[in-house]
Amino acid sequence: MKYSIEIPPKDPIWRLQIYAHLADTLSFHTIWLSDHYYNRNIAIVATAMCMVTKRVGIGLGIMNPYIYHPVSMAQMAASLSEVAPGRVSIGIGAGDRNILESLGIIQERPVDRVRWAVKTIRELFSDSRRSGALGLDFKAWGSPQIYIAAQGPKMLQLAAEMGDGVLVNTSWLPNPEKPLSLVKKTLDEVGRRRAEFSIELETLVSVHEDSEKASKTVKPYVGVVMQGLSPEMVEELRISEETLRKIRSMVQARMWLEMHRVIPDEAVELFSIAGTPSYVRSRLEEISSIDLDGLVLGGPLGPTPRKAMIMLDEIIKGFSGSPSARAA
Amino acid sequence: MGSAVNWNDFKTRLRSLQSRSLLAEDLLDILLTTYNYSVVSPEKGEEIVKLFITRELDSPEAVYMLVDLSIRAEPEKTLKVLKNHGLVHGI
Repeated sequence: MKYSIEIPPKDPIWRLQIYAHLADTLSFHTIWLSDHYYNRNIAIVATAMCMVTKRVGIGLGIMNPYIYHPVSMAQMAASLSEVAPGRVSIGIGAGDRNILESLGIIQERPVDRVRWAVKTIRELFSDSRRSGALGLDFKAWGSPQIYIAAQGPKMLQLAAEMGDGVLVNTSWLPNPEKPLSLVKKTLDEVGRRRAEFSIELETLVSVHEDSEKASKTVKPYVGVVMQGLSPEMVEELRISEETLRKIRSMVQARMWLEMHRVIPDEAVELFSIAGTPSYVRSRLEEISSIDLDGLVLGGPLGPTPRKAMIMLDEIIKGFSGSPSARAA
Repeated sequence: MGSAVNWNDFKTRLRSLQSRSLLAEDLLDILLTTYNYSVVSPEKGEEIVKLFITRELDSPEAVYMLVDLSIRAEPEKTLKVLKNHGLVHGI
């Protein structure tokens, strides 16, 4: 099982470099850099992180093909591979409808859009010189892996058809077996071997000796997840429209410090793993027993991320006995 | 802060502090989590990163720098940390 972490580039770059270097010395597989317009640019942060790391993978994403043209995604990944050969991955998803709308972007036909993005990136990475084909004038070092971030069934199926892996949205944390079986079924249907595909679940994590601190820290992240839920999920989980409306407006206004007042504790329980080290250990142990290839431990990691990373590393080392680390 | 901290005495005691590496970690965590981002300039941040990578963040000079930065970013938290490490009294 690969254990990766997600770090939103919301901090000054020097802090992000500290976290990256620490992750490099611990046993995390990949650092995923979530992409939000209001945070630092992930390509620049990724480069800064590559400068202070030797082993850990760097995941660009999740990017969406409304804000980024796939040529930019391919260019970013291929350029980054010159700084970190063999360590680069791309994560592509549909983006958050509400946030895109706030930017004046309509999220049209997201599955088709992601399909086009993946196809275009693969074309750019191939060394094809045929007339009319898109191409970069330089090769990437190693083959950047393309993960598709998926929440709904059609995107999960697309991931299984075209991706090197899938990053299953954290909203599936209450019931991870469901997307897992859909992905496996699709792999089978399209004749792809299970071993050539990586199924990874994203989950928000916040660990601290004080469980209330852990919970309070994760609430803004839970808010971002909740406001991006599909209508079907909202109905299935019986989340009130009133609560969602408040959360959406706070996310749009980036009222992170105030958000803990409106996020219900039940939502923290549903969409994150937040609490003491022993609680987090038991929840992670439970998920690790499912047929997943990886788990992405999403931000905030904890009220004190540096200490949280060390605690999480201790926890995951205790599971398999052998580190999930990418070989140096 | 006045009489609570005699800085010459502080520097001397810092040199001989047994728990200096733990102090460095506590101060680093203050700087990593404070919302007063502007206290650490990009140049200072780069210096902290270099010292972190070369494991020299617990040298007396580095810890003094961390104290200087964190006390500006989070005075109360920093004084509490310093008190826990026996470096200031009477607060």
